[in-house]
Amino acid sequence: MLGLGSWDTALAFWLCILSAGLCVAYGLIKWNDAGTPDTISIEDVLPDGSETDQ
Amino acid sequence: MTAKLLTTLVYFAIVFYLGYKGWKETKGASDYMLAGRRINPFVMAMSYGATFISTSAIIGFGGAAGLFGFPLLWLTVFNLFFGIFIAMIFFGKRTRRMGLALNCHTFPELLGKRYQSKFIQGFSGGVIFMFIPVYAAAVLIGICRMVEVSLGLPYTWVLLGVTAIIALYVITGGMKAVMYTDAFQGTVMAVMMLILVCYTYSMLGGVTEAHQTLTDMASLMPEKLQKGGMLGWTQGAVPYSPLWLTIYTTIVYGVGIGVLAQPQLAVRYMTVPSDRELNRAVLYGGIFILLMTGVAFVVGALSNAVFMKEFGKISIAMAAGNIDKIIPMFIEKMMPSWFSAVFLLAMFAAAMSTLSSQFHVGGTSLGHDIYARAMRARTRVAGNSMAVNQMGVVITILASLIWAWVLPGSVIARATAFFFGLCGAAFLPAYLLGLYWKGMTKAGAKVSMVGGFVFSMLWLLFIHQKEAASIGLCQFLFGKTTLVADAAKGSWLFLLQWVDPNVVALPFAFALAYGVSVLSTSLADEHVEACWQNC
Repeated sequence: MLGLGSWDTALAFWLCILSAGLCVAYGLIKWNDAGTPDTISIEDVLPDGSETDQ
Repeated sequence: MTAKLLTTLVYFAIVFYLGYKGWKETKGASDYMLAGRRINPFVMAMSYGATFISTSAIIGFGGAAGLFGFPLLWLTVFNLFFGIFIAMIFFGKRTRRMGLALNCHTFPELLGKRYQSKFIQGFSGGVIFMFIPVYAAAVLIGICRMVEVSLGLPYTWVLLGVTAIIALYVITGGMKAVMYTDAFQGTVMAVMMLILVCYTYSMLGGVTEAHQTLTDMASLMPEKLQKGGMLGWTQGAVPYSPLWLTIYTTIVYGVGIGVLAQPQLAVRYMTVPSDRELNRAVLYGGIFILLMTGVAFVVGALSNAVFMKEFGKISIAMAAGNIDKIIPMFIEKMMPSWFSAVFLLAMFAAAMSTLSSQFHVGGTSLGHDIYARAMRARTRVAGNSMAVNQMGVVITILASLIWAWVLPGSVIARATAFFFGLCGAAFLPAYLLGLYWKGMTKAGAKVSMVGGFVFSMLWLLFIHQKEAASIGLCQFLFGKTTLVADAAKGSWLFLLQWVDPNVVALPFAFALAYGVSVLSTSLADEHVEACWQNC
């Protein structure tokens, strides 16, 4: 409990650290994973103004 | 004082250099709105984090932690899990891919193009432009109160000076200037918060000792808070008491979930070239957020123990009843003078990074999503879109300035929660289902957005006690502060006055989105395939 007065505040304290750890672990594991390559390039995007309704 | 002025000058020199660099590299509207979609992961993550976390989180919510204590750490858990992990992985990657496929430059444009609806783009742009100045004003108040306490300058001067500095680089440098300065400012913030938490724990003899000291102070919790349901700074609140409902529904749930539909954050996903940058941003973002809200809430809560030890008073008494002054007071009274000089800069950094993004998103909502779209519809001419966006930024800044003048004290955390909650109810169902459900229809999106927005506003005006009482419309029309004010005390109906609008409005908006989509005409298959072509 680290001196905290209730189990739910102690749980919040530990979950903060665990959640940050989860983010770090995910970032490290996926560090070089770019996913499936984009099917379109930035220069190749759809033309503007294709909406149809009002 | 000389040290403070010197460090401030060095800091602003760096900010202006980065703003200048952003301006030099901005060649057109795409650079101005999306930084050319070529931002690196560290800059993206720090910019996302520094935009996410402002003086509002540190001064406003840190001050709220001075009042309510450690239960606010649940908001940090939500910030990390939803605001970083879920946001980057499930919202960020899909937003980037769909945004690229549909050539979107802003969050309203993404929604508008996903549903082939000018109304949706205009409505979202309108909501953002109307309400982001309230959130920006909360951030402005935070930094101006800090400078007022730290440098002893008049509040009005600070307000005008800070606004002018940010206005200069946002108007000229666009998204590149915003993100470069954000990354620098985020780094300053992270280092200062790390020092702050270590120093605070060491003042109280270590982690467990510090917590124990605060635990033993439960009987000193002000009587008014005890009546509202608070048990102590580390003990939390009595379940379903008014303060328990305020902490968990407004602060933790409203802000924690509302972050997923924040337009100024969502647009950052579209600034990176691939999913790899978002994966890396999860790592940077996780550490950054822990150092920001985690530290602010721990220090805010522990300030009670430190002040009691040194001055025999708890934090809210030290701050003369204004929770927005608790953190500035703690820094000024308890930290070494060199730290307060540099921490002031960290707060400048926190405020400026968020404000610049707020001004930018408010300006592009007005310029790109409302004005340019309307002009295109009428004349088929967009005009000089960069100049239009710049004009939008100027108007957003002026609106924020006016709000910062008129909003009352102790308003920072509440105004932030208001904007986050409103975005959640209005945008989250259309945004999330638009990214992942091919069956979501234009009618479903329109009804959920308008329905979520209207429901949220009605709840604020007629049910939620804080806003309903200060706005006074319910009193004027029905002769009572809220519609449920005369329900039996302690009944669930009576307690609704402390339940955040989003607790009801968000599920309601999701139900509308699903129900109407099932019953209405689907979007053309070719359009849906075009949206999904890069997903």
